[in-house]
Amino acid sequence: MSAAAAAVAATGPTAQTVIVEGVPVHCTLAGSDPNGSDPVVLLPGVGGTTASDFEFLLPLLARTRRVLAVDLFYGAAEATGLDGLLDQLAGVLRQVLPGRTVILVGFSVGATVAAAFTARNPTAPNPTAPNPTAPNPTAPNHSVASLVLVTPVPRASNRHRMLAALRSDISVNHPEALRSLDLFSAYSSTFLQLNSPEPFLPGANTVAQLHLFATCDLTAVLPQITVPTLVVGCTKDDLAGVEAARLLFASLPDARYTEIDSGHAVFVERPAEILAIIREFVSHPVSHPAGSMLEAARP
Amino acid sequence: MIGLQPVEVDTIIVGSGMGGLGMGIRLARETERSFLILERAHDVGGTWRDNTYPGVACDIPSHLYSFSYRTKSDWGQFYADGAQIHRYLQDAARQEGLLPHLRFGTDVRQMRWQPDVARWQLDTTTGSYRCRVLIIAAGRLSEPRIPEIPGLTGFAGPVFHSSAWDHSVELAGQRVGVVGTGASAIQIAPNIARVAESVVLFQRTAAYVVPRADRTYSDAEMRLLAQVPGEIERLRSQLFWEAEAGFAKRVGLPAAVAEFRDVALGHLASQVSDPELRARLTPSYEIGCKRVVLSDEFYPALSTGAVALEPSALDSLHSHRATAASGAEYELDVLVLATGFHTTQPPFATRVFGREGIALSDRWSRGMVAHASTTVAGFPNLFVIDGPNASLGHNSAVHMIETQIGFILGALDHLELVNADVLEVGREAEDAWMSEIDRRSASTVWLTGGCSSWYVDDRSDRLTLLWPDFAFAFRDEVGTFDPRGYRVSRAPVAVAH
Repeated sequence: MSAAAAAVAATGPTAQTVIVEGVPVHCTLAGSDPNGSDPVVLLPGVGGTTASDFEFLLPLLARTRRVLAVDLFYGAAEATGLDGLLDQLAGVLRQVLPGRTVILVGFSVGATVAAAFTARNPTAPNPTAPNPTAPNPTAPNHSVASLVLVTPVPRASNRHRMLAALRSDISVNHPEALRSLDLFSAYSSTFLQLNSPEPFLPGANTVAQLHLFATCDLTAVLPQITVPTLVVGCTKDDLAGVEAARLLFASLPDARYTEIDSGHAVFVERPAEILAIIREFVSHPVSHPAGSMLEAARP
Repeated sequence: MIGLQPVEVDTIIVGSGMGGLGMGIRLARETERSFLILERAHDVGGTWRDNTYPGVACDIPSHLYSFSYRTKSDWGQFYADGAQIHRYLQDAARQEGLLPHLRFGTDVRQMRWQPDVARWQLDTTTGSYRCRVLIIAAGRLSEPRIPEIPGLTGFAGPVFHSSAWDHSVELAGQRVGVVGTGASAIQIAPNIARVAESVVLFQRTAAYVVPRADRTYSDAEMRLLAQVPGEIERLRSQLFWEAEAGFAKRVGLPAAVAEFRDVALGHLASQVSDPELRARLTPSYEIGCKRVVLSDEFYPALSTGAVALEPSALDSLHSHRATAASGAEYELDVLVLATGFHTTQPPFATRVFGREGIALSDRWSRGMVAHASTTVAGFPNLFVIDGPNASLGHNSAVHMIETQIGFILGALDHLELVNADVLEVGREAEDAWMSEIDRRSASTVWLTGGCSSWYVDDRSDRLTLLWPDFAFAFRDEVGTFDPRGYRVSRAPVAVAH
């Protein structure tokens, strides 16, 4: 079955590997879109994978629409940088969701990629353009309908570089301490007081993701992001920093903003709350005008 | 007291439990409407007034099981007991000034829509009432279900339902039978075993039991919640979203279901060492299909023999002798029926008559239906709180009730805005809503888990009690009144307000 045929038939989560320019990219497709609603594309965060970050979100969001979660191969993009990752994503979308306008949801460094991709694909594709699915990996032929940036890293700061350097140093000299550092920096104090989360498994992409975390700077391209956007900040995030999310919200022309009482690992700490926020926004992206602060739910 | 002229008010609420009081508080605080709350008993509190059995307690955290607009910093326990919740509701009624609106001892015998004047006419045990808007908050767990057991009326000792506990019956030295393994039975059995000579539990279907891990709040914690601004809201938010994540267990997310099942079966294994008893207590259906109960006392009471398990239903009674379906016989002095409630066929529906005199129970002959879980086609200006598809298996009922209250206030505002008297949902909108409910229900454990439960209407096999989605989705979809699908009109004749 071709990837495109799989895309039509898929309802339960289906894992697949897409080859883009010789690079294998793992992704998972779930849900259906009987009403032709735009599929949601999920990009995991630093040190994470679609399996670890979206174990809850993917199947439950897929109850309401089609969802594609993509594990970009960060290592392959070391030479080409962020542009290489954007090409990978374009290649995956072209194969799995050909011709579809998508809603991008990026978490942490996944938000960096999602924002950069949206800036590079600023307008809707011209439906009369010849052969819109031509296999040109750099053609900006995938349009983004709306964008969700969850505890994003738009621009590396001194603090991000310090953390990356600390982590790198510890990984060489005190590898066992690395597990504690990762837990310590990913979760909020509230969460760690009540829970004993499992250590993170070292991922194939972690080092390359941290490189992006410590070097990225999207400042120049932010004005090109004109689609309806939701920025989600996490008030207890010591990794990305909630200030970065607030500033990003203020930098984008068509953004709304909300905050969750959580550390960086919001998909573990508050899985249902982030699902609720994403589910509502992807269904009604402009129900709140640009510049709105969305009040947190008061259950 | 019973006059010829009906008492005229704008709005009548039937029932003074969590739903009726919650509605009344917001009407009193935010509107100028005249309203009454009719209550058949002589106190407020609904299910928490009626259920006074030994060990009665809530299985939703106390800070969530309270109104968002009446938080309480000094809940003493993580899970409040029934008496504490009853007191909370009594305090709410008194402090919010609802007592003048309450009419106790008023059992509503009939509620009939009068199209010529666009009013609801209510006949009650204390006289007639007439109102423009009727809000039924008669509860979901309020009408005891009494099983048809041959010989029940001839049983030679006291018999009572768990929600009508007879405190005059001294259980010390008595041989007590408890029928059922629902949430009430599991709280009752270990508690009465402390005084009774013997307790036998008649189990038709085993329940999944998970650890309760109740704890007291320290004085410092209570002061923290009282004194630091925003702290109680943060706690409520944390508890709510934690409970919300539990919905994943109800929609067949394999990892979540397996983890939940492991917790329950692990609890059983750690508390019951006898493999035969453990086997009899192991459910044969998927976890979550029936209500999952929380207890740290139930299994130990069975394991130590304080409560004897009869792994079959109570089949018949003769004088003091109870015979189980298995053929086993027990001599009993007292019988407790912890057999649940009429849920899918609420008795109030037989007393409500809408357009063309149609009874709500006839409209619901294949199961309860409503648009936005609150309004029913053919029943103008009627709102039902805690009716069709408005309950939860994973989070707080109060969240659902508050959502419906917000919807009703929005609907009343809408009527005022468009200068109309009558609001009625169209059948098409209701049908579309119900199709969507059915679609979402299809993949849930309540319809796929291989059990029968009080969530499902056995006349149609439809899930009619529970909302088949997250609680936040109910707030997103029902929390704000949407006039699409509704017809509004003026009253046919001018009626003096």
